[in-house]
Amino acid sequence: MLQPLAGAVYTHLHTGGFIESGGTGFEVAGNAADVDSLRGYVGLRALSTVTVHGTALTPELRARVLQDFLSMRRDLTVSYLGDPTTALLASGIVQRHTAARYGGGLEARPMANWRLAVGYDVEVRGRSVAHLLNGAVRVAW
Amino acid sequence: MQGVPPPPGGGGGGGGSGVDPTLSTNNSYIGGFYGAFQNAIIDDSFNFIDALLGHSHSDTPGAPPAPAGLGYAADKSRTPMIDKALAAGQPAPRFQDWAAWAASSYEDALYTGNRRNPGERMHASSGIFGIDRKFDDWAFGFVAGIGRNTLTQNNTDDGGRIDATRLGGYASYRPATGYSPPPRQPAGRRSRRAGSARLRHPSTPTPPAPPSRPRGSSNSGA
Repeated sequence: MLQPLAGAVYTHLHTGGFIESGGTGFEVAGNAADVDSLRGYVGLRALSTVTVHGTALTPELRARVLQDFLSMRRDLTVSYLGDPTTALLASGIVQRHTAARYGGGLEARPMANWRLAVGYDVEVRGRSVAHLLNGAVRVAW
Repeated sequence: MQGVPPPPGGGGGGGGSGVDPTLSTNNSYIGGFYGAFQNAIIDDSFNFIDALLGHSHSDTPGAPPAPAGLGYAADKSRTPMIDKALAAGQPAPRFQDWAAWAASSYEDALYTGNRRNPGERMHASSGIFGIDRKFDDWAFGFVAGIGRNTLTQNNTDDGGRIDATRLGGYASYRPATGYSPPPRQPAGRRSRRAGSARLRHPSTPTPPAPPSRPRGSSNSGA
């Protein structure tokens, strides 16, 4: 069985200002920052269910393309504590807007109201790579 | 977290190709690592919502499963008249109204640096617990979770940690599926495939055999 996947997640992140402590002379004070992210995806998954000793097993392969529609800049403005008048831009990593996430999983239903699932996915975004392991259990009554 | 002195040799040795040692080291002085936290939090938020939605597949037996989260199916037929007409048919199974679920995840991510930033490595682990109840075609639930992200900057070993506690609510709407015909079967055979349809064709009901009357019994009353 093939099933299309689509979705979108919007995130607004606000980080408050901060002041570093220490004795190196390089301590900074950072301004508050706001970041918005709108990440959508489309994809496909293939799965099939077999029954083994009364347990329904469903292996699955899945692949999605993730697209970030907003700016990927991750910056904030800071200034040295010893020179608070000079503002400096602290640049975070600017990642690519497009990523691919693919992987697979296995779900078992030992009973009608129990589900157990494990999965593994890889996300590739330019030269950045993330490995994700997950597991889940669900019971209904 | 704070700025650290440059590593021996002038710093910037471990940032990968394309990293300007001076720029990346300066950036680490002035707090570029904080930008990595923004990436980590946003990515973690996406993964949390992604797990919560669970791609919302049906919970009907034989239907595709959901990895976690909101997968469920309503237990109410959309075709009550057909149900009534097919009185000999089997009713759709009644599913439980309550469900609890738990999910955990672990992530190992490498944020490759650029010219100004040496990049970071992140280890993230999280656990979430949810409980929901169905009302017809709707499900409403609460979710709670905890998570921990640990980041280490590539060329400075500067590090930081994010501990997160999450509370939330969710709602999901999934109308019951309508009628779908069963697969063709050879004449005289009855489908044994379960769950491909919420409504099934009625098989010809077999009248129950009359109870055998014990010898010597009588219908005559007093």
